[in-house]
Amino acid sequence: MTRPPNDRDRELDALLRQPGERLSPPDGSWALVTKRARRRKWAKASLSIAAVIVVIAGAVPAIIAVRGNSNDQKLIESNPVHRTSTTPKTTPKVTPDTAASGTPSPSPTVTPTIVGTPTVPIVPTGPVAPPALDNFTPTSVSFVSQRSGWLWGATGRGGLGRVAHTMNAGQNWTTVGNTPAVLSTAPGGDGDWGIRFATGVTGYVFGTKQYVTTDTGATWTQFTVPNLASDDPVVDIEALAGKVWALACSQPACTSLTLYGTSNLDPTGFTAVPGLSSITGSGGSEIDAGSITLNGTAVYVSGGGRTLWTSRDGQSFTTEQLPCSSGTTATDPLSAWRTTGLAVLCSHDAGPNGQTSTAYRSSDGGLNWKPLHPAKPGGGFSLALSAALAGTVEVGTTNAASRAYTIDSGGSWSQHNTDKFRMSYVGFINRMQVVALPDPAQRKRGFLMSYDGGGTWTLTQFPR
Amino acid sequence: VDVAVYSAWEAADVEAAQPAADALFRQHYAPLAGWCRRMTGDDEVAHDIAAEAFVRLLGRWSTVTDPRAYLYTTALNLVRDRWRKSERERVAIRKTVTTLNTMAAPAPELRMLVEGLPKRLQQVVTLHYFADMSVDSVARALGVAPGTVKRDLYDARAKLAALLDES
Repeated sequence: MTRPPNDRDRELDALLRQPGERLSPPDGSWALVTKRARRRKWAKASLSIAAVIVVIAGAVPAIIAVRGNSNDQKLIESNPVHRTSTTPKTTPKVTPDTAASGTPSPSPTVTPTIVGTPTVPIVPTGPVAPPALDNFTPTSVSFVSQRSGWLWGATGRGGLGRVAHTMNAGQNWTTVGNTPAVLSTAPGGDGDWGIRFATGVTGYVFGTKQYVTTDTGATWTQFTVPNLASDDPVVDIEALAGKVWALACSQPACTSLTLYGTSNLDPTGFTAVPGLSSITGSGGSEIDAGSITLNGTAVYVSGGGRTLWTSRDGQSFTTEQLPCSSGTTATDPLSAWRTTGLAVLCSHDAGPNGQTSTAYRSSDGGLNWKPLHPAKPGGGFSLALSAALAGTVEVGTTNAASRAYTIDSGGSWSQHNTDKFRMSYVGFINRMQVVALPDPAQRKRGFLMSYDGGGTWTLTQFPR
Repeated sequence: VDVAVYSAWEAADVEAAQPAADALFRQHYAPLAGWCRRMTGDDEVAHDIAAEAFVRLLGRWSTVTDPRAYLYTTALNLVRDRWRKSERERVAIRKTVTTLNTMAAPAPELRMLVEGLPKRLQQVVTLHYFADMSVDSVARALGVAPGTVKRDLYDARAKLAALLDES
């Protein structure tokens, strides 16, 4: 039905002239903008230099040839056949290095197919098609927005890790770059097990060795965290609001955890957080797990199964206790849905009946905890938990009969359609979009995405 | 060509532009990013687009006469690119997920209305209503007569009203 013109104009004015929203820049945005502008200027200048060199390189031999044989020049001018360029035409043929065996190699093989007779060595330039994702098993995932995310994993069983990138919310993935890091499927293994991106261009692969990229994953450079021994692994890296946090473990046994921080403008400039002593295992024992959870400016660090460091502003930290009782440990990860809303899984060995786990939530930044009631139906041992809005908790589990999620803090539970997929990691990208990774023991070649807050899931499986 | 001199001049240009550009950033980033969020429904994308607009502005600092118009026009082009990509994604995702509507961006009406306008009218509407520029300023920025801008705004409002009726 057509509305009266006056109503329509008013509605239009209300839409067009409503006060504009403001979205404040994240910390360090201006510095990042100027840095990118400068980098582009220099890239442009470099291209100009390269162009000048190419022109000179082409002109000098031509001048020499012209001066050296004027008769040839006359012949060339009188005979169009000689005007044919002597520059060979090259068609780079790219052979993906993932053969049927699935064994990865550090870089793609590029075989130039040469047409004509080359007079100078041919160096293939330009982008090379990335290797295929056959048999790709993801072990870690990092999204920086609703659409842009990266997977860390390997093709085949173990071996060199691969980074895959999506720009469309997980619909399509392509491998980017090649890291020399060896994949490990679990924290504590010998290799790298995690990937985190601080921005759309700057990211990390971490574990036994640390790598950083500042070009969306195209190239990776190894770096070390200052004052950290070369064999001390980084167990977690998380980034938000311009800050990057790393949790590192002392070796040979992981007996203490230390928190480091830096800005995403100086991605490898980690320094130990001042005034914060390390989390140590009871009686010098080995620490099972540690993780960092961020929400806004709040930083939460769990370690040793019991200890929780909290900071509302990322500057001053206090030490709290996780709700896990004696004999239980906090299962990674701790999850936060707002600056003071936390959820954690406590798992304990139930003897002959195997492991069980209980989910707790806190609404005051970890000072007080309450178990989720009623408990998740079907029992079983939950591997993963994640929270988005207050009251939204998603739980992955090893028990296929209790694939459950709740959207009201455990008031009621629903079964989701993950079939035989055991989730070892669940993460909210936003309040509706959730990603889940498989239990490494399952060796699944894929991952799950939900676009409705965890109610229904879509399995993306890489080809065998 | 004295490449070294050219490079130094280009680099120095950014440095010289810093104070003015810094002030411009403080004044215009938040509203520009807010507008990008209204147009894309995604905070991260909005920050990406706003930051990219400023990067490009710094790259053309010496040739841009109206930085605000340049920022919004650049952002509009980037938003259009995002719309095109999003549409392809929506088509792909809808094939597998039926609940995508729950992911709708905030204030989709405005975005959909602006998206429904021809390119030229999008630009005029963006500069006049969202960059808060006067008709004369828009005309100067686009190199057209003020009357042309007025006529485009009139046409844009007529089309927007029609789109509102359809919605």
